Amino acid sequence: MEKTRTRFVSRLAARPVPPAVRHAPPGVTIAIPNWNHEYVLPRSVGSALRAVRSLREAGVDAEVLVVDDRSRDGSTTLLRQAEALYAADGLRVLALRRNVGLPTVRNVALCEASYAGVVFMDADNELVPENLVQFHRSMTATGAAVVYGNLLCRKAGDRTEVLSNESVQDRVLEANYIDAFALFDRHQVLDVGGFLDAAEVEAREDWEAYLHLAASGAKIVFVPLVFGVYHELPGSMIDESRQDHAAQQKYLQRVYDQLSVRPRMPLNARHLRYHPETGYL
Amino acid sequence: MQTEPVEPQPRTQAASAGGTLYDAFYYAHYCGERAYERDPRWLAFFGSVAEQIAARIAPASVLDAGCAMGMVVESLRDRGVEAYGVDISEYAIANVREDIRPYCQVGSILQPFPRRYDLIICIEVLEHLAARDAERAVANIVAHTDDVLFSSSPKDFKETTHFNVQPPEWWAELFARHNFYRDVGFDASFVTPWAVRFRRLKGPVARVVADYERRLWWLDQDNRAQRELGLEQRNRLAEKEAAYATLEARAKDLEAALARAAEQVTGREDAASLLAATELERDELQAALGVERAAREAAEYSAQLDAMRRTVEAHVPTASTVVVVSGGDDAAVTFPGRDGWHFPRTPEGWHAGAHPADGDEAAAHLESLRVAGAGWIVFPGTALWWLDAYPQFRQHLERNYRLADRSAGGVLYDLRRRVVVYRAPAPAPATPAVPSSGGGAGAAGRRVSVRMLPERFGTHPHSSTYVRLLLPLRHPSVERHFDVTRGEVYDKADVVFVERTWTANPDAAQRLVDRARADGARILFSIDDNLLDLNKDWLTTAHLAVVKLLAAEADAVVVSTEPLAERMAPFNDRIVVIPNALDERLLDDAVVPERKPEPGAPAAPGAIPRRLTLGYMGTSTHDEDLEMIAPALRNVLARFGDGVEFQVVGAVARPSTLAALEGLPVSVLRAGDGIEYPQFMRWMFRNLHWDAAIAPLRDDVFNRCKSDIKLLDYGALGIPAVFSRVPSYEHSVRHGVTGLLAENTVESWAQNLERLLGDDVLRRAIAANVRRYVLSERTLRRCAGQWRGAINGVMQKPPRRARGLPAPAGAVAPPAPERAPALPSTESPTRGANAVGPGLRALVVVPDDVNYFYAQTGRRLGEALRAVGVAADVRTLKAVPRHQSFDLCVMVNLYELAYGYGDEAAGYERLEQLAADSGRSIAVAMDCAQTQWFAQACDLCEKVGVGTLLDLGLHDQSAIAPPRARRLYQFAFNGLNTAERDAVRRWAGRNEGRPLPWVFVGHVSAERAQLVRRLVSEVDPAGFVYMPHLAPYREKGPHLNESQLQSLLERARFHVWCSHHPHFYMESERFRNAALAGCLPLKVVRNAPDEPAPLPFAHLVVREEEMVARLRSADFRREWARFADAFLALPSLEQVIADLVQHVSPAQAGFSARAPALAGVG
Repeated sequence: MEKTRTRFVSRLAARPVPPAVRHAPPGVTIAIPNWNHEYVLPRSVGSALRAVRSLREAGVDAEVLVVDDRSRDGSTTLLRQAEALYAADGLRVLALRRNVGLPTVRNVALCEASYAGVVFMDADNELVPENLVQFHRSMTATGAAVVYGNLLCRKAGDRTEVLSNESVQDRVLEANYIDAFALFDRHQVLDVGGFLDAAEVEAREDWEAYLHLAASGAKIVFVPLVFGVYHELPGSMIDESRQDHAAQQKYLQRVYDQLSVRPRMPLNARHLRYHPETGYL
Repeated sequence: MQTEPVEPQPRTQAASAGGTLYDAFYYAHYCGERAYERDPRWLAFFGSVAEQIAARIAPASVLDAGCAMGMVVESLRDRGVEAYGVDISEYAIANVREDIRPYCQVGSILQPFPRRYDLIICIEVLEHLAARDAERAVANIVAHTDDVLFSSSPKDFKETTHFNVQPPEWWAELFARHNFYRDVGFDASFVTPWAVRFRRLKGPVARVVADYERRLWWLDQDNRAQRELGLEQRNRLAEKEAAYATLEARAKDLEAALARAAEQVTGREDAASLLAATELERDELQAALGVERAAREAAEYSAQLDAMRRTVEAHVPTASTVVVVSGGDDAAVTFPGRDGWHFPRTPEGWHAGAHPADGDEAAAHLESLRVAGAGWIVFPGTALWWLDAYPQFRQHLERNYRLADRSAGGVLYDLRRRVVVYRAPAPAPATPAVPSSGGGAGAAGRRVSVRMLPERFGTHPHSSTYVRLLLPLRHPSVERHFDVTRGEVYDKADVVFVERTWTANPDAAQRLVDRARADGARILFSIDDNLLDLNKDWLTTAHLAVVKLLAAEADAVVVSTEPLAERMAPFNDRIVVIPNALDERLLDDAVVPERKPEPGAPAAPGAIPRRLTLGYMGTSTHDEDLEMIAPALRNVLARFGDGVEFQVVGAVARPSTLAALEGLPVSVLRAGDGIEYPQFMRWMFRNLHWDAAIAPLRDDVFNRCKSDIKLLDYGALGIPAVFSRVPSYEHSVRHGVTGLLAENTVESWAQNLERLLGDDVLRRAIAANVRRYVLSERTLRRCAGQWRGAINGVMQKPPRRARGLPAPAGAVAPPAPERAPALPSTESPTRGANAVGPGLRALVVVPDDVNYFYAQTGRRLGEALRAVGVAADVRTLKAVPRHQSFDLCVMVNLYELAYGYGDEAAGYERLEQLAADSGRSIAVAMDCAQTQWFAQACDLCEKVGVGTLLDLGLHDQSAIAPPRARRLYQFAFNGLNTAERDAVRRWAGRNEGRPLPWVFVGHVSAERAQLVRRLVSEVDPAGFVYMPHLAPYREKGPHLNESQLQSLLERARFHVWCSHHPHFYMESERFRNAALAGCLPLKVVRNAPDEPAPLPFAHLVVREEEMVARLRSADFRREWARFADAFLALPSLEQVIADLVQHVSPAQAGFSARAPALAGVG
């Protein structure tokens, strides 16, 4: 499996972007990587399909692409049935023959998506369907590589927290506070080679990707709207990712600010706030 | 060696073939791999067979049946055995050795032999016969012998003449039928492997069986042993093979390790060489950088020294001594025309070589240098670190000396005189230092009674009495605060203002002091000349004693200049510097002539278009000054000839002065003897139409303390003048802008006079500048507040105790004044807000770059103060000028002021000083009274000596304020100002159709996240949400700043928020921001407020459970109208401030700036 991943990523990095990807038409693909999340799929897929409807009503092409990472909990059956029922509503299912891991699934989604905008949405997330149009407008207007908004994190005991609630700050090198649940311009993400599947950034591939994009001069724009809801479950990745933070941070520091010169070379992505009704704030 | 029947046998093909079958071809090709012929190899073979037979059987006679070429017969015969041979092949018999031929004959072995033999040999013969013939041949053989050596191939089926190839047992059985059995003990393998010796059995058959069994057993044993050996060897082989495989693998590993090691060695060598190369490169680079840095540093150092020299040349007079904080470089202390000293310095003049241990040591060293004659100290750019590294040294400089320049050239201090700064003693804790006799000016409407005891000078007050006492205290801006009486003797009052040499009798002065002390009155001693160092001709010893006594005993000494303050400092620890100012009322009828150039007149410098008038004003005390510049004056007047007339106002008394002016075009103007100051001023304005004037002043110990009053007089008249470059003028006259400064030399005066008289454009520019300066900065309208501040300051301190007298009751620790209870005022808010505070000087201090809304609030308060006629200045704490006092000082958020100052402790010290120097100081807070921030504000008020904590908000929190806050607490309604009210009105009917349904901004908290979740899921998901982490609300973020928030709210319908703490509070700025943007505020609370008082906008405060329904069903237009109307009906900020100012007093008594009753407004 390890070899498969490496091969895939290296292939992605080495090969030119496939023609179909380069010429992807404008629109939004909501990509949902799934691995053994049958229980929560109806909620995420449902909100994604509502978002597709909302986008289509606003004249934006859209689809939902569920990439199943070789689930063994019955997800595939459910997804195939759902695909049959909702194909016209924009649901596509891609079931991988082997389990390849989240970052590679995201890379697969980047290559397989039909449209230029890709939302990465975990199976336990829920979109606020009505707002995605505004995020798409923001991306079109700013040319950003990523636009993201507030994520409401529902926790045990009906508590709520807010994640991804700030523009990119200088401390982005110290902590990963921008979730991957966001709208990406896949051309720009593919330009930097997609998500890295390496042990050094395990469970923090999104952080690595944000830093990679920012270091490459791409814009990462915060839109002050609620993007979606993160339903925290026992064993969520967000918990896992709290481990090994120090080592990973050290690694990323070494890759993206080895000489500690960022204060003198601030990132382009720093402190960008945009709302279609107000412009940059 | 084939045998055939001796007689041909027709029955078999072989037999019929007879002897012809075995011809030469047969023997050449059918006898194995090589031809059968008499060659040494066959002969050797048959020789060895014969040898074995002879040795092991030892027969006497032998028949070789099928002897072929007779080589066995031959060999046997050669060994002495009687041997014969028979063979069917004629060819073979023909080839028998010659000598043997007689014993060999052609014949068949089926035919009976001629005799018996001991042994018959039959080797490889019978397989050539048919089986039946073979049996007959065997029968024939055994009939002629008892011993047979027999061999017949059991396997060679390929030979075409082999008709009867049989296995050994076949032959054994055949012989056994004739009672012949194998001799198992005889090994016949020397013939062929299958050869057998058959012998006729002479004993029982059992013996044969036994022999066979023995042989079988032996073979079996042999076989088993062989197998075991084979197995053993096979196992050993397997072991060896396994060991071999292990060794091979190990060898491979070792080889790989070797390869890796070799690679590493190579890699390490590469890395080492790379590293070495890199280090070399780095060293080179560092060296190059070092050179470059050294060059740059040298250039920078040199540039800094140049800049420092320019600074020194610009500020330091020639022949002065400048101390340079240097590193020992003599180039740094070299100045043209000035002495430069190192700092630190040895007595011999060398650089001391070591830095002082601390700031105090540095200060002490500086003082010693000052005594030795140093007049200036400069910190070049290279030495600025001193000011940070030695904070005490910096404080010593800041507190004692004037900062002459701070620029690229470094920091330059003027050491020639000390600046005495009033340092208020620390306020007594808990008990406000306020006299029981009634507080300060304006306390609850009470005026301070002031008894003035002016210097007696003829029949009317001296002009300095007017300038220093009468006019300031009777100025309209302060007059109402005082009940001023004037007399020659003491009369009971709150303050006794004694001037200069009020009496020449020290005892009278002492009595005055004692009586004032006994009455609890404060004594202010006013002095505007350095009488201590005045020529003894002018002042008696008794006068001097009075001056010293009053200076020492007064509660404060008021002086006109900083040098004078320094001179008086040894006598009193409270010296207040109040510069002279002109009373603008005296200028009302002053007509300042327009000084236009005459038409057609050339404007070139040097050309005199008309007769100019040069003036001089001064009493006879200034004769020496006039005399000093007389030669220059004479030169210039001579140069201009009739073009310039010289007028003198005043008196010239000294004969030498008169002599110096002899022969010049001088006219003297007189205003009249005994004329009082106001009349003189009016006369002056009417009569002086000078084009230029002079103000010479000798630099001596008396003059150094004089004020720049001439600048005020000339400036008010719009007359450009030349002044001596002495301390009195050099700080207020800007050379070339508000006047010209001349060194006290004939050359310099002549040069500057010529320049001024010769340049019409310059004269007009200076005239306009100096007049603007005096009228804007140096009039009582602007400065009278300082006098009030001085009186208030002294009133706030406990009176000094009379010597030898018991302290009057309450004088030391007066009881706290009663405060007005914090009840809602019923005073009308509609009272005219204008012009309630003219003449007042206020300062609003705002934090520097912390939370912007405090700075914003400060600006709004400043505007409101100006709107009601107060001269209000809004500044950050750093930008507040030192040594200025204000009637009112408003400090917006004490903590943030100190925080924004950079150094909190220094910030609090600065605030404390400001509070002490101000008539009234107020701290502004905008927090819930139940929070720690409010409690902190209370603590800080006490720390810095601020008597009032103004809660600027929407609702009175006095009921919930902590007990210790009650003494400080004052509520003020944060109303809209005029411009803001207009803005709110403009939104009517224009604020609908907004794209954002709601806006939620503020730093993130769990409650807020929960609320947003409900707003998104239950109201409208499209709301604007910005909740960054807690950080100051700076202009640059991360929060939205004022203008960003405003532009956002202008696109939103509702501005929704909740507090980040559990207590109820109406955030007034949120309501105001919403109102200004035409947006509806909606404050969400966890629980219903337990506020007893009616709240404004109570309908816009909702509980979380009601929020959703409220937002869904809101009638925006109607609700907006209700909100806007309610806000506009509440008092404006100007009205609130007017109330505040109306009651400004230095006392600690409360005042009311409250919102009107709010019932029904919400």
